[in-house]
Amino acid sequence: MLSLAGLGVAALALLPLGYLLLRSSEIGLGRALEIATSQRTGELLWRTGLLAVTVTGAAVAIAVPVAWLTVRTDLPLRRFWVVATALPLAIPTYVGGYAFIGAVGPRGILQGWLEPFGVESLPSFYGFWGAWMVLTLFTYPYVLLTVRAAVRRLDPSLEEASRTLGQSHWTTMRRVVIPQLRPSIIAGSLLVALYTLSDFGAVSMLRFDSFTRAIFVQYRASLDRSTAAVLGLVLVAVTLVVLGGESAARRTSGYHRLHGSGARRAPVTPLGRWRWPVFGGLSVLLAIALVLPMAVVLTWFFRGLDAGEPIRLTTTLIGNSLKASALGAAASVAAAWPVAVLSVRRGGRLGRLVEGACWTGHSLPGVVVALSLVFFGARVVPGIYQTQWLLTLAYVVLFLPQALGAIRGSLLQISPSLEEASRLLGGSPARTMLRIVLPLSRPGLMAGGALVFLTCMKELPATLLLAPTGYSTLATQVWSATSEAFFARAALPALALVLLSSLPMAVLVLREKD
Amino acid sequence: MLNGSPSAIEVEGIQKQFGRQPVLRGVDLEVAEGSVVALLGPSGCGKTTLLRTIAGLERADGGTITIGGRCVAGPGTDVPPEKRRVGMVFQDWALFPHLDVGGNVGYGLPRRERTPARIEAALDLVGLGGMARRPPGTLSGGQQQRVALARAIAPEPSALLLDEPFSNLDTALRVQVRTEIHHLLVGLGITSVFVTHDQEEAFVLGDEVAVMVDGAIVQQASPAELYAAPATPWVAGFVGDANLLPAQAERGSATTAVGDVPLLAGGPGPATVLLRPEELRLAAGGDATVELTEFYGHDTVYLVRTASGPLVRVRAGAAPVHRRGDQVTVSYAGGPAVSFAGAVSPVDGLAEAVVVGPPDLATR
Repeated sequence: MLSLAGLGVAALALLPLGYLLLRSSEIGLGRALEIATSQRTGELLWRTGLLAVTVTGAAVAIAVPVAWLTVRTDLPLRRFWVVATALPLAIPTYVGGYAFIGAVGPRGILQGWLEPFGVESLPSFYGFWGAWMVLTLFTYPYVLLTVRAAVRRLDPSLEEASRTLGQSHWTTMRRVVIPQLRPSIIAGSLLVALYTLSDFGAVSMLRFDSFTRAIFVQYRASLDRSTAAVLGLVLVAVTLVVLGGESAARRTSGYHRLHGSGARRAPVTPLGRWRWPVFGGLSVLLAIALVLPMAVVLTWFFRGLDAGEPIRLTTTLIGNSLKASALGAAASVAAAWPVAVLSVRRGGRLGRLVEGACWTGHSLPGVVVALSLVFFGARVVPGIYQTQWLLTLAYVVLFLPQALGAIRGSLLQISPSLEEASRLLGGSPARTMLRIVLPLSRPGLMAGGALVFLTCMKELPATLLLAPTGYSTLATQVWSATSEAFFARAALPALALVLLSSLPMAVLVLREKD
Repeated sequence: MLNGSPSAIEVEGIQKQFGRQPVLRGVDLEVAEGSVVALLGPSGCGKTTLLRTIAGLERADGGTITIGGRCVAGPGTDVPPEKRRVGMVFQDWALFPHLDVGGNVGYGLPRRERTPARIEAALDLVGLGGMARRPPGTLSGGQQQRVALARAIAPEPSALLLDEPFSNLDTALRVQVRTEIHHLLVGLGITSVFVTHDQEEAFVLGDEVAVMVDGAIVQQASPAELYAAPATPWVAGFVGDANLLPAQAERGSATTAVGDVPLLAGGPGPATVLLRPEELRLAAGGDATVELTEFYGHDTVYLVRTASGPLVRVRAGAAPVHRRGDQVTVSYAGGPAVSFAGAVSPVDGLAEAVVVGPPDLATR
């Protein structure tokens, strides 16, 4: 029963990749190889790769010091910074892109201010550096959250041992602390790199020609599906290379606390005369990554109000977004449950196989999944094509790993002896599942559901490609309004999106404190 | 209050492998109706696996298990744990954190019996009356332990299994809780098997002790018999302080480093004789030397180097009389001793039992 459900979910998760392969093979291997090795593909590879590397580097450079400062030091208002520095994650990159374009782009706020002084145009924000900046500012929290969790777990006695062995604060940092944080830095970098590879909203708005944008344009403009499919496969190959690199890096770094229970509360490092300069630095970060975008969106919102932008329309958009996200979250949790139980409790080859299949969604960019489901829907199951169900399916494929991770984590925390105790007290396997495992894993189910809900809300490319005709959500509205430079029209949906997603985000961050 | 009649447990030739690693190599164990058997052995000997196999949590690769005359595991039979009617107290107690104490205790009761009165009765039995509404996390270790016990016995199982039941308690509490549980088990008269690596625990609680080594039971006997007549030198050392001295046996006696010792049995030839430290006496003056004095409060243990070489442990009255470096004479004051044919070299894992002391003393 359980195995069957697990296999079903695994098949579902592998469907897009399989269909993409099928689709590409239709034009013949020769032609496919020709597209994959063309100069255009090479350029895309180079540009996208460069973006991923530079964004990841910058995110690490911001996140690691911030993680340390907000956990281990006497920074003023430390608790505030713990939450505030993670909040940019609640701003979808396309909203961030919209905010920056709305501020410094053509017809933006800054230019409006400068026009009386005869400034006709500003240096362009579009292109590589714009995309780099926006992606860095709104993805560094991925590294921050993983590294911060690791900083909290650091055993302070290791640092104390290093100090008693004659090492200074700085050498201790370099030789003891940073090496211990390495696995978490790698894990966070992976998230940022994968995100950058798959990001569609920011690069499209900032007109940076990366893989995802090229695929989308190829499909939309020329309806050349096979070329789009081949490009999609190349992108998948790139993400696989990144994933492979990560697991290789992780394998060489096994760090455990040797005596589990020994960790004490870490001592607070006094910043001394650096206290206020650090405070100032964090304020600048917050100003650029949170205050500025919000201020810009608000400015456009009030301009829109003056111009009579309709609010009623936005409530429909909110309803659509909530409905699509709720369906996606519920379906993802339901699909992840049997897989998590299978892999945690049964283990074995089947468990590993099924779980591995489900994680492929993690490496598939939204554009690619959407594209393959468009083909699949139109060709194989026209019944669900152009319905909400195909979109929900895409969400499940894309975000199943998030739900899986959360549920798996909470299942792992349930001691197997609880289930054994239930069995010995006469409880059948079904009753044990219902009365013991399910209630105890509820935190994981809730967290997984919330996470998927949040991500669905922000999701752009799959929603654009798969939503039934005329079905707009907050995300698609921000995108379409911005791409036509209707900044005021995009403001209210963007605000609603940020508010709706920052509330659960704040809850998740606050829960982080163990 | 316990109406379920206790059942005997019979384990025959149980085999179990984890991967290619044999863990149980044909285990035989008999637990009489209403008796308490301690499974004693070093860590990794397979005792917990045996207990879990009896419970049905592990599937045996071969052999049969019978509980109260009903075969629950054997060729073609594998009764699932929920149908075996055995209660188990887990090492970590495994209290359901989302249920209160009453919910835990009532979990195994049939729905119509799951009444507050019934649950309260089970809690009264372990001295926790009135605690039903408390979340288990708010109880002390000893109380959680008793909730686990109440939960296991509430459905009136035909046998009770306890996996290292006291290992999660700190030393001070352990002795107290042990006595309480002992009281309860004796009062209930329920067939019980418990796993421990602590010889004292096994002796105190067990009507019988089954010593397990490397996946097999080497001896099952009452604690007194086990102590007096261990089946192997290894068992002798594992169940208590033991001096295993090389000796030359004649008919009925043997010559050792502490003089002539009467033997229970054993033919002529080289042998190893078991002399418990409390059966040896020290007298001032002589050719043996005191190397260490360990004062335990209720008695004192001396480590003495005999003239012919072997080091012996001697347990004597409360206060230390001899000091390090004193010359003494060691003599044997016990009854006929147990002997094992052949010489036992310390390399056979006996070093720890033969000589307790700093390694440089042991290997000299």
